[in-house]
Amino acid sequence: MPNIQLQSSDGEVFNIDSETAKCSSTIRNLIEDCGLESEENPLIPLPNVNSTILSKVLIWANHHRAEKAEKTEENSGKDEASAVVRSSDVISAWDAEFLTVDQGTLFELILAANYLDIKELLSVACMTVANMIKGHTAEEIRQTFHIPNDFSPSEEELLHKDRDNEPVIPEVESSYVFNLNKGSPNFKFELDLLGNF
Amino acid sequence: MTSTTDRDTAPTVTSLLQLNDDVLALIIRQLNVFQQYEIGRLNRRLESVVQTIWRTRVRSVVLQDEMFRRSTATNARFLAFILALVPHMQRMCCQELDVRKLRLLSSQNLDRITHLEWLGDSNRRGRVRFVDEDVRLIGRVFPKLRRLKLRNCQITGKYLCDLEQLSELCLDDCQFLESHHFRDLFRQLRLRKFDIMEDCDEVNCCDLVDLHLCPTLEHIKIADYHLCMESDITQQLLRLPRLQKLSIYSKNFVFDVLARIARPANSPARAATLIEGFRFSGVLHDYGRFFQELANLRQLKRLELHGQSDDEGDGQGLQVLGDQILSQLSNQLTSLTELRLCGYQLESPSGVLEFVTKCRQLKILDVTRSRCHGELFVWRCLGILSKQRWRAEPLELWIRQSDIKSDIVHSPRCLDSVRLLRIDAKQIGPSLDCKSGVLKFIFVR
Repeated sequence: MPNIQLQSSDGEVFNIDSETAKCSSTIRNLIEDCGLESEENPLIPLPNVNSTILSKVLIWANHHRAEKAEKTEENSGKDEASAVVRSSDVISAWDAEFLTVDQGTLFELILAANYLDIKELLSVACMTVANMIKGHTAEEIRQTFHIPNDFSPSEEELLHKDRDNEPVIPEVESSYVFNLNKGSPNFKFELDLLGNF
Repeated sequence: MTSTTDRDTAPTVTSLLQLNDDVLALIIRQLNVFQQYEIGRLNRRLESVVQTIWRTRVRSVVLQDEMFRRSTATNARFLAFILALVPHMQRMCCQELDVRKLRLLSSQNLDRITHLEWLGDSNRRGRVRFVDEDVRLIGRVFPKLRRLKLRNCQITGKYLCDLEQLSELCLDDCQFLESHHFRDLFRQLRLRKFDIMEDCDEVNCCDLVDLHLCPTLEHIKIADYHLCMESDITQQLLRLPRLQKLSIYSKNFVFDVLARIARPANSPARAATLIEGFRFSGVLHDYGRFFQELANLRQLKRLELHGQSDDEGDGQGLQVLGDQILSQLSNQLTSLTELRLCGYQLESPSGVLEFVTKCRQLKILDVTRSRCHGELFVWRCLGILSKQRWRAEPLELWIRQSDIKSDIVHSPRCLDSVRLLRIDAKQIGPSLDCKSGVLKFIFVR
């Protein structure tokens, strides 16, 4: 079964090789559980993903499959311990550019990655959103992401009571007077100087 | 192929809140804990997601000044943030946090927190350094504190004895400690672990002559100069009834330290027989002498030595261990069950293999990162093992990052001999990241 067909929610059909498609655990499990391995060009409907998003997901999957194949070839002669390990905290330049899209598309990609269970895509996409939040104040975040305030007035009052009551930092005097001229302690130290150390 | 219009496939999810809770949690978990708090104040749903995360993921929290710099973190907001965290938090680490933030908590009672680390900033001066009064504050604010680590603090140690529940104390780079405060500390507290190994200023260092007054101590970490201030406290330490581990950092006096413990002048050999494990990592210029002292620890069961080199990868620059000194050591330490010689160049396989011959209880031989002459080492080892009819269990040979190729595991000869020799190419030893220059003694209890 070299190829499979994926059908988006709006009816578009994408032909893709099965190994690339299996980067999605959802698709992989479907193929294995429904015995589609032995079928010629099986069609798998994906009712939760439209064609625009699915095509982007497939671009991502194809790129990463090719990249993984390249790395496997480079590392095949090396010791396992010296193989390059990709840090899960870093977004690659390619992924960063891939995910430079409008918010709506970014969120749809996240939902698609979640539905299709593509952990790596989900991880980098969530990291991208997290990076948009970091370093910004609460109000800036609210405006960027259109987050409505649904707290009741009394809840708001509780949340923001810190605005009115600024605590005072107690003064602490150090009782320690550091004598810079304090003499060295008189200690006995038996040295064995015979060792070359 | 079916054609579609832009309208049909235009994004339908335009707000963060249209993502499901699991995905929101994935995003929020990547923020620092203060930002999580801030985002939770924007909306009920976000608050709920943050609380779900906090229920399991904020038992240990690290606080740093830069978390609060770019936000609207007033003192009141900081206090509210800590109080929101408290129901979930048990361990707090303050990394170079402004001490005035700690002082904001002075009227609070945070009795859920049992571990506190205060890692000070050495650049802070004057009133913003952590001082003795801040230790008193800690005692009030964290009444159930069991573990405390203080680094880069301007304390004398005066009020440490007031932390009644404390069982582990670590003082790192606290250069103003005064020896006379330690008597009360060791008499009054039931410490299990005491660590003053790191950078406690050789010139103004404190005298630990009263360390033996704390009979509950199980793990002590000190520097070599602490052993010999006004008097030699080595034997007093070895007599502590519950002592399990003694770690001594020694830059220049490794042999002296080893001799004091392995060849105790006053105490009978009893002290040496109680030591069942020894570990050292570092560079030595006289392994012959080092092994000579080690050989006095006749009942040693676990020996772990980590060599260091300047180069990485190709094994150049590794220290060489000669066959003769290894053979001599194997004659003395016949009780070994684990031998780890990691990061060395062996003169030949013969020296190390003497241990396989003479140590009948040897279970693990770890040559991680070492150069052992490759496959020859394995075949010769097998040759020895095949003659040991008494051997009931296979010997484990750990070869990760050594010059023995990992695919030797699949060779027919090794597969046939798996009841004699089990080769492990993946295991990492217990202390790959151990600090250089530390002699660690492990006691039988």
